[in-house]
Amino acid sequence: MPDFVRALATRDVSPGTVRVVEIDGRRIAVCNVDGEYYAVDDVCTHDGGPLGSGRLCDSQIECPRHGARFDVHSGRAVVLPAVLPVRTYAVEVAGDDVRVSLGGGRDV
Amino acid sequence: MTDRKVTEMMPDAYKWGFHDEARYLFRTERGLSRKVVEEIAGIKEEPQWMRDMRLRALEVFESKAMPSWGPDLSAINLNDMYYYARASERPERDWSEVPDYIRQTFERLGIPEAERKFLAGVGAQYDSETVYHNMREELAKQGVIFADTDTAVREHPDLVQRYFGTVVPPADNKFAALNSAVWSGGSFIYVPEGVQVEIPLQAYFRINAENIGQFERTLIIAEPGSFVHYIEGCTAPIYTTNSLHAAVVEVIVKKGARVRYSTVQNWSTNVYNLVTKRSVAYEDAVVEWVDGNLGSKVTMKYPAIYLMEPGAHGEVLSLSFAGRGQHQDAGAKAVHAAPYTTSVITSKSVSKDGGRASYRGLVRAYRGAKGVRSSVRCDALLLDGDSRSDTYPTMEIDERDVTVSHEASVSKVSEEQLFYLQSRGIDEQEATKMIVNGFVEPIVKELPMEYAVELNRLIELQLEGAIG
Amino acid sequence: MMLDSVSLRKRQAIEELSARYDEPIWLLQHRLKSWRLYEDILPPSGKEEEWRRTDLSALSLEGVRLFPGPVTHVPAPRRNGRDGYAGAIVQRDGVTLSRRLASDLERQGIVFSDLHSVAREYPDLFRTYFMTEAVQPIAWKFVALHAALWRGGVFLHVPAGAQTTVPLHAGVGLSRSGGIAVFPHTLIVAEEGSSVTLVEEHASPDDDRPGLSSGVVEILVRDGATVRYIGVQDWGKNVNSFATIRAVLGAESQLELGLVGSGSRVAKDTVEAILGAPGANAKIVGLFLAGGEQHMSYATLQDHRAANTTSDLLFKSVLNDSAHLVWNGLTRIRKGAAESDANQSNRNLLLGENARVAPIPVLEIEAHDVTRCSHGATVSSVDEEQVYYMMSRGLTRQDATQAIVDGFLRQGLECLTPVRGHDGIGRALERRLLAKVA
Repeated sequence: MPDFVRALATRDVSPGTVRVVEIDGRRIAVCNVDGEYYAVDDVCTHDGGPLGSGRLCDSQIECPRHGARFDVHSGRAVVLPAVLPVRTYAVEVAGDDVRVSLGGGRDV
Repeated sequence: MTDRKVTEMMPDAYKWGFHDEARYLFRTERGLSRKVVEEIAGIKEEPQWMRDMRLRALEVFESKAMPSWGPDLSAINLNDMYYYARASERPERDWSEVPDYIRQTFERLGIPEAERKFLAGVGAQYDSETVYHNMREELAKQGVIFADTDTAVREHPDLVQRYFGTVVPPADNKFAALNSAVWSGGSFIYVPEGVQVEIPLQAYFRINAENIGQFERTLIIAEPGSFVHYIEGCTAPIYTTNSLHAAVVEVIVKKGARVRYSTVQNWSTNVYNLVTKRSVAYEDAVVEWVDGNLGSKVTMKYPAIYLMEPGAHGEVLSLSFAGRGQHQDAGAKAVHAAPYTTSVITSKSVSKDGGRASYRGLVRAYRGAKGVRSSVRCDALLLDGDSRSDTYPTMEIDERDVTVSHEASVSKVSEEQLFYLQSRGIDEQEATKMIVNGFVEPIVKELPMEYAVELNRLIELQLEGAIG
Repeated sequence: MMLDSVSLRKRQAIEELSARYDEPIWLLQHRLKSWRLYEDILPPSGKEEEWRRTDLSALSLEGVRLFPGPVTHVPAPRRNGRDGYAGAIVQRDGVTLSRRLASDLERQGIVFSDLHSVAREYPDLFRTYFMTEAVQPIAWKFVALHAALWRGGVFLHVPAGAQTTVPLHAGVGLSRSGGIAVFPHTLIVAEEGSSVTLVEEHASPDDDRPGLSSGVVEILVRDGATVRYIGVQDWGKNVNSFATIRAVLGAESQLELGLVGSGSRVAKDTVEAILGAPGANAKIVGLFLAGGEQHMSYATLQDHRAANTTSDLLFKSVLNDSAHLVWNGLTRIRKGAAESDANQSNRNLLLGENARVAPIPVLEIEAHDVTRCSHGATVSSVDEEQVYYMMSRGLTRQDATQAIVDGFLRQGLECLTPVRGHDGIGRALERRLLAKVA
């Protein structure tokens, strides 16, 4: 049974934007795609730096440094120079909260 | 052997130092700004998504710093250039319709009448805009699209939008951002599934007026099982101030397809040639870059192959000549993102008269890329005591089940070989040429001999003693 | 230079340190000046090519006590140094426990002692060579720190013409490695036409707490001299170790440098051979064995500044588990270094599933008249065919892998035999190394 933890308030991340939160020592980028919420690791798999200060283009999050893009649904790298997917997390909305599950355990 | 006396191609003096009086129908104001970019998009009547991408790319360009590594780029004055100019109203379809002074340029370049028949299709770029474009009927029948990129944006918008900027996004590096903002011209090639394009597709372009940059954007899409060979080459006259050529080439090679991209670059020695060339190869796909760098003041170019799915194979053959005042900073990148992918990189360079040739490369194997095999071989020849050669290879291997090797050597002309040839009555200069020829031959022989115009003309000039 | 700007507490601590070793005033001043330099020099930003792939948290001094506590108990040495050597120094926690030197070497005028003794007994020698030529405090931040806080140290001075055939040994250890800093310093000066071999081992037990080592090795090889130096680094698993090794070679001189890297959590070394005079020759062999989550990063330089110089570098690594090794190797042949011959060979064997390596061999050639300038780097895992072959002959997979690794290392280990026929770096160490990558 996955453990959902409150990440932030729904009003904290408006449609078309990204907010980075820290959960359990991990930086997670929470994205609002037209009212739907998604969560990915705040790490660009190309250079290891943060994604969160990048922008959201439809359902793709773009890394500000070299333009790599990841699909927030699947985590797949859709634009080079990133090739490896970014990890995604399950998200649920409960009332005014966006909740993220880091997975079935610490070792994921 | 006479056809291949590449040593005689050394651009000691660039004899094509002519340019027509600048005759333009239109050009944007000097320098780069939002207004200039919007004007370009407007003139081309581009869809909103392209206009937006250009403007966004301009922002990225302005926010990025110049590279802190590599050759000296301090003499480039980005504010002092014209970023777009247009020489005639619309793309032409055959020779008779090409404006006189443009045809004259081609005459003076000496394209023999006979050669023209062998050309599959020519998109000739005159100062940022395509003025001549001709497609052979066979290509059209096969469903092959070979057009200048501007036309492709208008006639095949969905196709272009799907792929444009996915291999080299605007933010990739400063000059990719510049290109993304002001690109004009370049080739768009689409090869449908299973189609083998027998004849190499080619293009010409040149810089003309002072301070006009060339920013062509090329996009090649090869559907599964297809094949195409594209040849790019160019020539440019001498100018007193520096010219900039910042091109971007994106090549997508799908399952089982093969693309070969050959370039002979012979820009005049005041040109800064900064190019981002990158390909993605999917399952069992093959990509080959054949890259010849002869001209320019500075070239920074590292053809790259991203091997995305098992069975993909990439090859780069890079040849550089660095003569007086030149710095060729060339190389290759192979990124292994999938298991059982292979890459072979071969680089040869010759430096003389104080020229500097550098190899700069990357071989990267991501974790999980099991069974990867990669080999890199760089050889450099220094012809005299003023010249310089460097090698900057980087390997980043995050997977243990690989076989990766890299070897490089730098040497001078072997005294033994020279002595041997001289003892057979060959004078030193001739002997040196023969030795250098032998050194570069493995790569030169991969350049298509059908691509005759540039090479033949250059060789002729050399043999006539017109250079030197 | 404002000595007052050094905070009072630090100044007092340095004064105490200096007083403990009865140091002359000029040496105290050297320490204070170096401390000031340490405070002024900026730490690496991480953008520098040689630091890009290293976790900068290794530079943290948190939980590490820079200044030594009072020496309470000095344990008696178990034995008087290693057997089979013409001289040996044993140090623990900066204290010299034992020192011996064969009488014939003493008669030749060879000085082999700890730095404190030399500062007292041979001040001229000390002042001439200590951090004046090979490595200077300004090299980088942690070398300045080292210059302020070093203790113990090994000094080896061989007068002109003195030849030795039997190697010397130095064992520098710590009784514990957690929470403290150590600054080993080795200074070898071989005057004209002399020859000497020194084998040095650095070791400390594993500890859960972090420790720091910032070491310096200075080697001056004068005209016609020969120096062989073998350095074995086997610090505890949580030590962040930084070593700066630099050799300056005279005309027709010879250097053989052997490095074995096995310990530490992060080991970041700079190794430089400066071939500034004609006919100089440098051979550098490195063997690196890492496992767990170790990170090793080596920046090497073969700097050919004069004609007829030769250098040859061979680095071999075996990486297990999630170990990570980076090698930035630069061979530079400057204009005028005609008929130079330089080579770099790097062979990496990846054993661990998560092992990673980044070999970056760089050549910068400005002299055209090179005899040979080349490099090669390879990365691979154990050859499966070889494994199956051995298994078909009855070996377990484990034994087969072990045999392959052994074979891979053997060539490097052989190069580390200081003198033909002599026990190399010690069979016990060899066994320990091989067990590590099992």
